[in-house]
Amino acid sequence: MSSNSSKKIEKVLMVDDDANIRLITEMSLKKLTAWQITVAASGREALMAAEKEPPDLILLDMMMPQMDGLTVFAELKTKLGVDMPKVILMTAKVQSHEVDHYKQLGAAGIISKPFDPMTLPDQIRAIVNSES
Amino acid sequence: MKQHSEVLRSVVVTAVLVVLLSMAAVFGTFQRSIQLQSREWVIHTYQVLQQLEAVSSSLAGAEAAQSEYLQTGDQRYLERYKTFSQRAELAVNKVRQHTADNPDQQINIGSLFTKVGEKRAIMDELVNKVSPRDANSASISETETRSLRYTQEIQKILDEMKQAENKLLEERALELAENTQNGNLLLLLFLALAVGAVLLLGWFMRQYLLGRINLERMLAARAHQIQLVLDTMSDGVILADMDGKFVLFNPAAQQLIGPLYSMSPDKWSHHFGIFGTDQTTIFPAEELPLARAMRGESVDDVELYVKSPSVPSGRWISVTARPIRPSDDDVFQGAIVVFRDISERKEAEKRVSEFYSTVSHELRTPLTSIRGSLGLIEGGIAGEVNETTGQLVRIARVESDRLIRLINDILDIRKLEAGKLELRKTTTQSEDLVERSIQGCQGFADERGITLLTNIKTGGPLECDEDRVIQVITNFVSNAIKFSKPGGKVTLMLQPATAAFKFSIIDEGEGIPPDQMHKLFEKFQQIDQTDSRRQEGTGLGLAISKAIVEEHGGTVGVESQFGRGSTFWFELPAVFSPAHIIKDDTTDGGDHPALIVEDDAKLSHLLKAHLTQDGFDVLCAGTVAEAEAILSKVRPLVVLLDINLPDGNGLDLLTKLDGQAGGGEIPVIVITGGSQSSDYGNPTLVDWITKPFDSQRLTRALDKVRQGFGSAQVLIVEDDPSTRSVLKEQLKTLGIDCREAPDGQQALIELHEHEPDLLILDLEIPAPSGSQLIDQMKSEGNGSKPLIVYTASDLTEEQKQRLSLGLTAHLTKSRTSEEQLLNTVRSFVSRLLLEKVRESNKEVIDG
Repeated sequence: MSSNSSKKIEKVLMVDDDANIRLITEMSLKKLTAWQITVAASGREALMAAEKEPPDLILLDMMMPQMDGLTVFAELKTKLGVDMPKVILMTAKVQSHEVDHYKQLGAAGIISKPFDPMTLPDQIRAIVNSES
Repeated sequence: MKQHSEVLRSVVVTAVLVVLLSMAAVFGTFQRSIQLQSREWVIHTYQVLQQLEAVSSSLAGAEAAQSEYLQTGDQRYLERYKTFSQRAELAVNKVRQHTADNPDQQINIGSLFTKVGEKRAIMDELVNKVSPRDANSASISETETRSLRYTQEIQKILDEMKQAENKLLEERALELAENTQNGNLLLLLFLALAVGAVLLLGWFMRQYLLGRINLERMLAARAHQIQLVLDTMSDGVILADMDGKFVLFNPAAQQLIGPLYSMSPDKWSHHFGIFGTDQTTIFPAEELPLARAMRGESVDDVELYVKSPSVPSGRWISVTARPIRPSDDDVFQGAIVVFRDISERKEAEKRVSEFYSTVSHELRTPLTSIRGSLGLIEGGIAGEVNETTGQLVRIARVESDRLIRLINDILDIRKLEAGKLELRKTTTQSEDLVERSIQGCQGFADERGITLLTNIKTGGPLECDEDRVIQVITNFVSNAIKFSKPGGKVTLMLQPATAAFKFSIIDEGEGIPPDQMHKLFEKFQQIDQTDSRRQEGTGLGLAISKAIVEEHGGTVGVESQFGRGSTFWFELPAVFSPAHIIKDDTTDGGDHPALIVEDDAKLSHLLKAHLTQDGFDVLCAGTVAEAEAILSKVRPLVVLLDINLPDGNGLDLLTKLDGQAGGGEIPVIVITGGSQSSDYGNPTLVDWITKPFDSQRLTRALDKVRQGFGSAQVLIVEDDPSTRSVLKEQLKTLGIDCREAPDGQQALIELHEHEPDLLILDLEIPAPSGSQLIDQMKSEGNGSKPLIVYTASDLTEEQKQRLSLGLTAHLTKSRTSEEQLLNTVRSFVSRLLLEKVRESNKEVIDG
């Protein structure tokens, strides 16, 4: 209803170390939305991709080897500054009830895994709209 | 006590002994004096006898000398005679003296005195008249014969006297002997008693000493045992006196927190390195359990972290402390603290927590892929699916959903058990929660052919964790759906309870067998059910719901009639007491009636909630006929009207209303699908809202209606000028007039001079503080003033209770949006104005 004020999502960067989840998420978003989807399999890849072409939204997995979601998030903030896109954290570790802490860090929202790929775009839109 | 009686006994025996001994002494002295007296008397008698003898012998001597003289004429005999004669007189005088106190002897002594006198006279006569030559003359002989007779008489008297004295002597000797014997016997008795008493005393002393010795041995043994216990136990124990001096402690205490020596209690935290649960901030020394116990508190199971040079690796301890107050047996005053090492438990808890976190992650990651793949296939993203495959995929998807729910439930239960369920409380409208839960369950209900109904009898703000409460309602509703027969209905009712909202979920299913009721809310409990429905749940839902409700300070329960259905209910504490929307089974509409004419039940509920929040007593009509029936009895303060009604046009109703006496003054808000008809321009029409319904617009329309009721004055007490002016501006848009006070002092002046209708109070203001201000208002009879407490701190239920006046709401700044604050003010003001309208109407009627 009030989505008119938010910046339109066009480019989405999706970061997850699990290849299956990357595939499912990508498939869901590509089939159900017109967004342009880029995927990254690690924090490092994500940083490179985001620097190369800053997205409008990042779907960021929390638990990743070497560089976890929060570290990626912090580095993105220092690297991109004002161009920092909205970030939705994807996590299998917590339930949606414990989002306060992450919201304080500046995340737009949390989507807990497992998620329903058929309603994933709606969930993302709901978070982005409630933010704006 | 035993010792006491022994001492008492010894004292009594000693006293008896002293009395006995002194009595013996007094008696002995008395006896002695009697004896001495008796002896004197005997001596005296002997002396009398002796004198009597002297009388007799002197007279005999005198007689013999006289006769010698008469025969020889020798002057020497004459001298001798005189000596003896004088002696006799002397002796008689002595006898007289000695027997003066003896009346029995007086007659005898008298005659003796006379006779001896006469005898001497005769003898003197003989000596003087007769010379030695005439010795043989007749007169001599006659006088001699007389003298002889006197001698005999005197002898006789003397004998009598001697006899009397001897008798007296005998009597006195006897008396003396008797006295002496009795006295000695009594003395002996006293002494015997005294000896007995001494022996008794000795025995008592012995018993007492033995008792003491036994007691001391026992005490020593007990002290030894206690020492052993203290030395052996792994818990640390410290006993401190009122100055914080450590008067007793055990080795474990030193092992756990390092060497103990006395110091000022305010140094304890620093010295022993005692930290709070965050392991980094030093624990305030005055809050340490031992310090609190010294102030008289009992403290249980406080968890602290110790890290110091003595405990370099750090250690968790759980501490319990008790005050020691002086008692009958002990004057010691201080406190005791007992603490144990809980590092292992803490470590285990941490590992368990990590384990759950990991397991959760490890289970969810593959499930994400499974659930995601199935969802994409089922959703047709991967291409057309034939019916059989679709059915199978659906089964797999439903079951993986169940698996996910189970994992979520297990994690919830784990959090609840660890006391780590953190509620994210916000202020929410209770009726919204019902609506949102129902929306979430609608799909499942449709699937099962169940009709979901809502029965909203009240509404208003509720401070709760929305997601968690929706989780609870959803859980109850989906259970109700699960256990209902297809075609049945499930009703979700919201009604007011005492300072709480009561949510009831009513089904018409099988009901619950009475013997199963008690275990419903336990973990992993499902009612024994032979059919397949048993398989659907995790058995954790009710236990989780109960825990969530209780975490909110609410209660949960169930009523069921086997075979006829069940009602699961829960109550959550309200921000302020909820009011009835419709008084059951009455159509008088209460004091502040409002009428909703709307055939869409859901919209009708929503509108009802809106009006209820503003303090209206809402009446609902679904048809023109119902509306007319109500209007014939009640004159509402506002009418919310739909135009397209099943049995006619709402506009007709309006026209009729205009025709009624006073009817044309009732404000009307039209809510309809169609656009405003140009030919309708009633002056009391407040707004014409077109569907889809926009609640903001209704709020504004109601603001306008309210302004028609009058104006209310609000006093904002807030020390921050910018917050104050923002609030004032916002309230101005609502048509509410405000006054401001930057501190408690100014607030009091404002209260007295302008008597505002409502107070918005920041607690953290300069003196007097917000809470002092409330106290003062209570004492000044201003205790029923409507109040909105708007504070930065989280208030406990107890504090809220205390910081309340009349209609009161407590809002926490960080958790309350501006909109929520405004809604609360709006709701309060609306209620106040409605009350004013009611009172003025009453005056009109009464007048």
